[in-house]
Amino acid sequence: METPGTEPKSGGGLDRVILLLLFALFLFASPFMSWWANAELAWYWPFLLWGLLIALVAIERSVRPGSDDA
Amino acid sequence: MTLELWQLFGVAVAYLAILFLLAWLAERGYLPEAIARHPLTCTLSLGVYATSWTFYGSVGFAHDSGFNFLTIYIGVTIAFLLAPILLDPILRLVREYQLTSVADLFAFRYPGRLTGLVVTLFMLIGILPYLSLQIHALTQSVEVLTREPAHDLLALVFCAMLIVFAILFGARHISPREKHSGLVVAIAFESAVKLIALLAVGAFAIFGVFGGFGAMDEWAQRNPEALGNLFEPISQGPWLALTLLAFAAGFLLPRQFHMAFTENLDPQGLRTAGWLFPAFLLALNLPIVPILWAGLAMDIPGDPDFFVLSITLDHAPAWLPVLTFIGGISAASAMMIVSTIALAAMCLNHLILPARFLSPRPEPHLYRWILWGKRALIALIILAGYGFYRVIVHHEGLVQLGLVSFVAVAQLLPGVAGVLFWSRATRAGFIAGLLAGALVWFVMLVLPLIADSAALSGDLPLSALLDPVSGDIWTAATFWTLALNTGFFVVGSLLTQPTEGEQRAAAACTEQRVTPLAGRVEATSPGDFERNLSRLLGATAARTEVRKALDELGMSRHELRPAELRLLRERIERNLSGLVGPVLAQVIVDDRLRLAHRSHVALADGIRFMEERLADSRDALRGAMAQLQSLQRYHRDVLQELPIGVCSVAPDGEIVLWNRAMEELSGVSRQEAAGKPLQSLPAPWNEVLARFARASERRRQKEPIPSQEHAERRVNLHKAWIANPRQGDAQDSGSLVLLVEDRTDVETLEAELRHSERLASIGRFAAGLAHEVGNPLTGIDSLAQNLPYDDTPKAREAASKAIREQTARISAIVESLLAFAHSGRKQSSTREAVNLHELVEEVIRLIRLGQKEKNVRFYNETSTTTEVQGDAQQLGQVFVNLLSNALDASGPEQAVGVRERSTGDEVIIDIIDEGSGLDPDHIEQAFDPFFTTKPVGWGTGLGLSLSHAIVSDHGGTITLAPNQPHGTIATVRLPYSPSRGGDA
Repeated sequence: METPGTEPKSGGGLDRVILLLLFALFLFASPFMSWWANAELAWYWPFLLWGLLIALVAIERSVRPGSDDA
Repeated sequence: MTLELWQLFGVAVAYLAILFLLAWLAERGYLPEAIARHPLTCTLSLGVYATSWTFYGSVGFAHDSGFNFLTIYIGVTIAFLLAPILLDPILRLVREYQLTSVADLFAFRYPGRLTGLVVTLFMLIGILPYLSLQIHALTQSVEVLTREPAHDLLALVFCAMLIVFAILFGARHISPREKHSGLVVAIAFESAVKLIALLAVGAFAIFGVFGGFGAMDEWAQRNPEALGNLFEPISQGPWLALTLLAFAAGFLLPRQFHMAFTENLDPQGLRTAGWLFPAFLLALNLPIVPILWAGLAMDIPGDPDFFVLSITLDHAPAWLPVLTFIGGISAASAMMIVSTIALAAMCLNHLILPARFLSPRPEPHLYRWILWGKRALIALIILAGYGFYRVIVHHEGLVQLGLVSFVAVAQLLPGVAGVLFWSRATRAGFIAGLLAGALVWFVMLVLPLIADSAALSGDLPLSALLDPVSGDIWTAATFWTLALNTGFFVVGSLLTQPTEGEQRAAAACTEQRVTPLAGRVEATSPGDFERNLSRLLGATAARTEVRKALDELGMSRHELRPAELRLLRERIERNLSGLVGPVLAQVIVDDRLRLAHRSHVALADGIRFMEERLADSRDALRGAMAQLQSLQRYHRDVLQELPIGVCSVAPDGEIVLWNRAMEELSGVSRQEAAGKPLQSLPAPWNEVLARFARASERRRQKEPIPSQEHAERRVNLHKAWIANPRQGDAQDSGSLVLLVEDRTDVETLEAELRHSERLASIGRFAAGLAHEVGNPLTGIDSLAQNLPYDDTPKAREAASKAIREQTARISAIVESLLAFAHSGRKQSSTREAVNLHELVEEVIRLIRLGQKEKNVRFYNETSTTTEVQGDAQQLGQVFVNLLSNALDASGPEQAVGVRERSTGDEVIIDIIDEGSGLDPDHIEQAFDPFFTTKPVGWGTGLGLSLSHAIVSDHGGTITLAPNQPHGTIATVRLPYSPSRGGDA
């Protein structure tokens, strides 16, 4: 029932957090990790992957509809 | 380059002095508040995570286990990535329920003294090796720099300074609401120093040792095993286990919990830290590989744990080893200070205070006792760490000692799942799981440490038994501790039923519902609160706590409303939770501020507080919760805006709802009324509403409300009971809803209408009146003309008598008319015993005026003794209307009369005519306003409608029926006068 003052809410960005978690697990806890661990990459590659994850979290937080209080 | 011990000592003292100064400046407000609250400060304060292990040990870890060292930070990154579903809810709980430590959190969710006790003891045992690790790292770093064994005195002095700092800046306030901004700023500063020092050493490794990035790459290509040693262990080592351990440690380590939640100055800071803190950790780890390779390239002998220092000794600028040493002190001191403060709070709340409160004697100086207790504990814990450092022979690397603590902390993970997600979890399950995990942890990791065996290298027979394939102790320990812990937790929870307290705590943790406050506090005033609490807390603390809670709630010290006192009790419990922990707070409040033995728990009870909480809540309510809130607000708004006064009363007599119409009608605002019993409302509403609420009748018409400002008001009152679905009979446990309908304006209009109708009737009588008055006047005139010629006294007397008779006749007519046309437009009617016969006679006398030439015969067959209860004027109007209609319908020489019948309780009066009769189709509509069958100009159509309203108002009825063979019978039923003057 739609009542006055009712606004349809989205998942509050929770879906994006779950997607980020899946991406983090893909990077650091999946066969993909075995691949990059054995790919003879430069020493800074793990840092790049880690940095990529942090950048995505930063983007997610910047678009997340934050509340004033936790 | 070699530094002298006294130089290092001086540097350490100078650095700690700067730290003191900074903390003091922040605490005193000399540093702008914005700096302490800045998200960057919050992020850097979380950098307490990076201890000596990170600062020195990461290089050794990378040397032994390659990129596995990154797991310790990637795990934290994942924990902070999940901040919206992991950290934010914990922060909400900590702030809302004044929890001060990780033990408080679990003691809140799994209520009982045992929970806090087990968690505290486990954390204490788990963290002590970690504390000793910091002291060990400091003395080792001194040995590296001075190239001679470190003096034990150095460690002792270092510990003493940390004790002083932790006491001065970490145990300054007793309430968790008052944050230690000095501590936050100092720890953030320490993190910045750590980062700068490590980046400086990293830069020296790249540019000073190798000569740039290109040269370092060339070295790496010449030494492919160096790169291989970094990558290969990833797929062989305990990557996943370590990531999981770090994930737990990221927010459950006592020091992390303390900085992220307890000392959190601004929730926004934690949100930013979600990405900024992992970025800080990334920056902190970037130099590790260059430093390791520089150490290898320089072929430095000794423990790789201290490559950070040793590569700077010979070729770096003189300030770099000093800066590195300071960085190491930063890492060690920050960890020790914050961990100790957090552990001290846990020990105080869950080990010391419960024992203290077992004593029946109140503590007269509770605050001082708590403050000094915490300070003594800080000293004891740091000294215990020092003792551990002295006892344990440190054969192991820095990382191993740290990981022992990490596995301990990870044992709290299943419990956290119960806090945040699984409301079925019970205390028995949590404690069983934790003990099982702790036992395995102790056997696998601590016993070998104490025995100084070689277990940590993976040679222990038990570890080989548990993990026969890899022999990796960390994976085995993580797997077995958590598997057993989780198994016992789940099975234990499912085998036991959650208690009421556990269910309530679980609901509060998982935000399943906003729990309404139920029950009434036995203490009836804030003064009673103080007296009751003082028996346990002492007079000063009791007074301070009650007044603080009153101030926070904006309540008066003379507050007496039960609902407000219940809210005060809840606030005091929360504040006490910050002081003595949630378990003791609940014990104290349950014992000293008892709820009434039998108190109704109704649906409406607490609705007001739920509404206020929802309105005040700035949390983002999601999904169904938000829908529910909108729906609830919509319904509340409907009630608020109804043009009829609505007042809802909870079973304990408190007013829950007082809408806008009620405010306007009564002049009593919602704030004044809400939460009060009806009897406490301002007069006259207290009397009117309370009396009606007690009465058995469901409605009351035209209740007079005396008013000083207006003329008397009239209201209709209605009431209904709303049942509580959880309880039985509505009248016993439900809420009462009172509707108050203002009839004053309607009454005024009705009075105007009656007056107009009377005037209209008088107009109809005007012609007859002229005739009736004119005839006697003519007679009087003739008599007066003849009077001078009547010469005998007898004749004059006869003439005089005739004149008096004629004037009496005129007077009677005029009086009847005046009585009927009474000029007062009174709004309220006066009920009195009215003689029916006299009333009908009077009316017939008037009606005769309007009969013109019809010569209709009137008769009055009512008993001369019958009396009805009513307003004579209004009832006269009814008979005028009915007899006028009868007269209008009658032809010449026909009869119109009034006959009385009696039944047991009422008088039945028939107004009978033999006229044209009423069309049966019109009987239904006859009482509708403006319905008339008379020609235009003959009737307003309001007569019967008004008569119907008046008779109804008198508790009677009026009906129309055909008369046989001709005419109509109008039947009026009226109640007898209570004096029962009638002959019925």
